[in-house]
Amino acid sequence: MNDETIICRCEDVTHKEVVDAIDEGYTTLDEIKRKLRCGMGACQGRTCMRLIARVIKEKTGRRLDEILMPTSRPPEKPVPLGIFASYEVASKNARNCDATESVKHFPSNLGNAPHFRRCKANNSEAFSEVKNE
Amino acid sequence: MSDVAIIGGGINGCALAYELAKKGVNATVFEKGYLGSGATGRCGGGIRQQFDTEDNIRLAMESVKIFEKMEKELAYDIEYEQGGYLVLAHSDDETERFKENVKLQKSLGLNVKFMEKDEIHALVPILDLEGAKAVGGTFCQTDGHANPFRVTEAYAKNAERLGAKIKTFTEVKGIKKEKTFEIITEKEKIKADVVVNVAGCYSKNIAEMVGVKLPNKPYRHEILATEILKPVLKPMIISFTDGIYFCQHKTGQIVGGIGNPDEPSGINPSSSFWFLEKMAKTITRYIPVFKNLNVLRQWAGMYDVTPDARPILGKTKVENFFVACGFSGHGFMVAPAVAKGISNLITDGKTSIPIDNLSIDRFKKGIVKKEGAVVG
Repeated sequence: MNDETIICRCEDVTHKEVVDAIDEGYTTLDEIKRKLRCGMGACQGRTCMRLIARVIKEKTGRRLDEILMPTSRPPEKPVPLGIFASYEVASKNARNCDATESVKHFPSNLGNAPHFRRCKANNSEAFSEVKNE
Repeated sequence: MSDVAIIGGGINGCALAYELAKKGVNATVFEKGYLGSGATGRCGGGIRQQFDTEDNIRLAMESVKIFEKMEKELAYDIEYEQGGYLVLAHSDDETERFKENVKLQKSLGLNVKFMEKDEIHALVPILDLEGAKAVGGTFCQTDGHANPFRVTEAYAKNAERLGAKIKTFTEVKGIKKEKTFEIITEKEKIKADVVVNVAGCYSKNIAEMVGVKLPNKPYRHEILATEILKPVLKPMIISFTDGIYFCQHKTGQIVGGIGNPDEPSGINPSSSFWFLEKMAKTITRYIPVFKNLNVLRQWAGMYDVTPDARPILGKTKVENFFVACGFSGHGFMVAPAVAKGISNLITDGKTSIPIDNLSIDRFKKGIVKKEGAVVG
């Protein structure tokens, strides 16, 4: 790994940027996420968080199990707003239950829905599709 | 020993530390998590001056003056953009009320106007006015948004450069009041002449430590962010009828939230499916092309709400114990002005920033004019 190695592919964050943030005093994943936006892109940290945890470990000497992962936010995968907008099954029960609970009510074949597609880091292409509809 | 102990490391705590440090006051910030880990880091980053009470309008206008110069003053990119706020009206009643608001706002010097449907369409062509059931709206170009993490960091770094101390991951467990204050944390006890409570939804608990009762209640508010896309939306769009707000940040994502009128009071950072569904249904009604836009994540934060939805600022019955809390969802946007005002109060006993009417004493007198322009 060198300075220019990309650690967060969604937001183009390099190894050096992570090291600099740690040197600046940001030694938790939560802080680094908010400072550099890594983990805020399409993959929501699936790729970068473990790598960054390793850099923190190397820089601070802390054990990996002491380095807490940021809270995982719903939805599990990127999902188009239109899917939630057309979701009719949600009953009044969904109102106060938390998202993890309501996932149980969710169609399990969501990943195969025709308009479900992988989100691109810079979605100008996807948006022109949207506009052409 | 510290001259001023600031409890809470959100935007208000960090801005205050900076303003005090600039005056040569020795200030220490106590933050139980990382900077901005509470409401600041969870907010939408909107900066609005279109309120319907005079005090809130004045305070927000002072704040915008500071935001406009902030990147230069703090030498930091805060991703500030004055794309304006478009407040949609959905009925004749609302139109009347908004026209009254515009009169008041204009009398205070705000550049704001009522827009008919065709003007709105020209301003935001992707907005479907039929779908949104909007009949008009008000627009103020100098409203806008900034990145809350960056603003907080900009203030914190500059405060530290000027000598302030910032203690993150340091929870205040108690406050002893004798001749001076003693701030008790897990690691140490630190004396301070003055304490400022800027602890957001925990302000009530902090105030209780010195016997000050606050009428504030915490309410969860939820928000989501989409994938990033090229610039398509200039202004922040809000509606008090639907309780929705959303805008496109400089980094490209659409960020927005919608209120749940049945939300019970309490500290609850969890995400609900109700919100996701309601938000998706409403935002795609406003901007139908957003239906193919991916939601990346949703999260929640706390509004620290007062009975009149206006902040509580200034002195309390306990000498040298100040509060700046109860922002009711507007803490980020007014923080720069509040920090100036409170720092003046601490060093000079008075301030030209219009916060006098917002002291806690107003609730005793029973003159409560409720802020109606609350969203989210």
